[in-house]
Amino acid sequence: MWADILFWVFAAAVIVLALAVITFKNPVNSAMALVADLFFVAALFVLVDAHFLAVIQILLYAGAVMVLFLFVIMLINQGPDELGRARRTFAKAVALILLFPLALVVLRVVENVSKGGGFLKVPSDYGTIEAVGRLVFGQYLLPFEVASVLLLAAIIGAVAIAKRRLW
Amino acid sequence: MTVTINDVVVILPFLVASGGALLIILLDSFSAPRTPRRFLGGFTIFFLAVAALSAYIVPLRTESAFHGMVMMDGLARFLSVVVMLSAGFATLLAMDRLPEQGSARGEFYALLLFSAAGASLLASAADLVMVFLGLETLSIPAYAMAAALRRDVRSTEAGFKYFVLGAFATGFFLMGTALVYSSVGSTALGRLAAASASGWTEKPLLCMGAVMLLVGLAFKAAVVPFHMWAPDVYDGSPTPATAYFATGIKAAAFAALLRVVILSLPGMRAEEINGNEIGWHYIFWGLAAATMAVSSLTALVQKDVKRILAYSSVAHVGYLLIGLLAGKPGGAAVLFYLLVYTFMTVGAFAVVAYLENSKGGTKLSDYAGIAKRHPYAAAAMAVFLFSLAGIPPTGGFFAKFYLFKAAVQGGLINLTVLGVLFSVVSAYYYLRIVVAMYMEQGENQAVIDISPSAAVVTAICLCLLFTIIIGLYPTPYLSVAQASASMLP
Repeated sequence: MWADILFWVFAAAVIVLALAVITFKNPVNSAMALVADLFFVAALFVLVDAHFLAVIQILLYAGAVMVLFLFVIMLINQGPDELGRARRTFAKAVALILLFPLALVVLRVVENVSKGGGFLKVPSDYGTIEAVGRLVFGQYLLPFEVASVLLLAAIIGAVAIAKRRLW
Repeated sequence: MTVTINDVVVILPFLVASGGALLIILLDSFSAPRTPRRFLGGFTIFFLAVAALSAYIVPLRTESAFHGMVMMDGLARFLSVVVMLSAGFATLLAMDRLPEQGSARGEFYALLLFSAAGASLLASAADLVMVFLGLETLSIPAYAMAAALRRDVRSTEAGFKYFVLGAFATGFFLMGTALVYSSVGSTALGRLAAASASGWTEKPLLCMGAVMLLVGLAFKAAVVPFHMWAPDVYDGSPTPATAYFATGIKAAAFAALLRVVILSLPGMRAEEINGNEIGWHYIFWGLAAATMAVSSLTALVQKDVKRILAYSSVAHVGYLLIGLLAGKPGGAAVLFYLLVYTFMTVGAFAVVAYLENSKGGTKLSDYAGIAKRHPYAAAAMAVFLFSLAGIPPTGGFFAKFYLFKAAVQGGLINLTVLGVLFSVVSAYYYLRIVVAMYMEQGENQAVIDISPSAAVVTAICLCLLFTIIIGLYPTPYLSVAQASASMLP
């Protein structure tokens, strides 16, 4: 009961804030709306018992990634004339056309779900911290370790091309 | 849950190469500043050789290790060795030329080893998650290698272009993985094969996901229309890196294409809907034809040898795509082609590296009359170009011969005719370089004051040797390729 009410509140907030992201003229406002949006997505994850995803969503997306966004926005620091000029009618038309097949797929999925099928049944502890931990250190042990090698290679590459003086 | 030694040996090539990369970073940071880093190249070649050797001594294991993440079958073994070979040649080219061009640091070798490690992991992946991680471990060091000449604007531009477009393609691949997972409920390639074997027309998410996976991989392999980055990146990157991108990364991308598209989505080849036959087949047909046509015709008007070779490498992707379509004999032909292609393309780039200097010297006009001043380099270049064009008695002739033979056996008559036609077109732009070298008078002095490099000469000689040996006696190499492709459908 309460979970249902909360779901509708959070879901509405997600949609409203997502619209706010693309309608605000000032990019800083858009970024802040995105931060709030990601918080509500995290809340949705909590409602379906995906605790690990919820925490990661806030830490990584609302925290780290959005701070990077804000840094970039402030570094570029575009004034109102640069932001106000472009109308991009053509781009909007293309986006609408591309939206069409996506909408078809979403409709198809919703139709499937309303018939009681479509989505895969998951165990009840799916997405909890314990279940994710078992997967990461069990079945997905090798990908987890390889990801660390990948990150190390990325750091070495970034330092090699960006550090001011290497010797 | 436990990991046994039998699991670990499957990823031995990856462990050797990435461990070598770590050691090189340590050696680099503990060596005195401003001392030559040439010895690190020697270490790199040692680790690549050990990694290639370990791929061959590890017992074949077709059921997957690490909970279904990786396996070591003939394909993984063969392509790991090809990638290590390509990276080894790139190291030889880098040892003398990179310091001259202002990038004397050891990171290049570490990045090369990381990239080769990722490629060997990609070749042995048995799960879409591993394919993704392999692709990224392969690509991210490559972006940094493209930008290794930090003072050169074109190198920086190449790195940036490669990075932005590569990240975009990775997004496609991830999106495809997510869609496939939402339809199949698993990322294991075996489960994917079972799910796509029948009734895939009823699974829209699987179809969308499969196409997105194909887009992501087609970008890495530089298939037209996802090839736009290739000429600029190959042209702007330092030549050793270009040699690796054009051969090692291409071989890894074809490993992924074979694993994901041919082995895991085989059912999507053709199915009848309302009397119309639809399927992969037609997408591939179009991609192969477009790749051969666009690259061959664009190469005709290029004025830079590196750009001509870049378009030539895109053209060869088109021929390889024909092989992918041709079923079991096609798989063996693709592997054999990738091996021969590595020798002749690395060889051609090695000659470019030999003749270039800090002022450039890769323009077609720079090559005018070069046969008089550098007769041996010009002769080697001519052999590599004849091989790339597919003229006997070079390895390139047999590679094309077996590929087109497999295509005819697979019933791809139209594509074979197109392939032969565009091979003839390609002969024109390869011969343009030969004509410039032997028949034109040279005015440009840029390529006169080059400093000789023993490592580059070694690379040229080895490539020349193998290009000619495979051209004269291809049987042993072909039978290895056939044995490696034995698990293809």
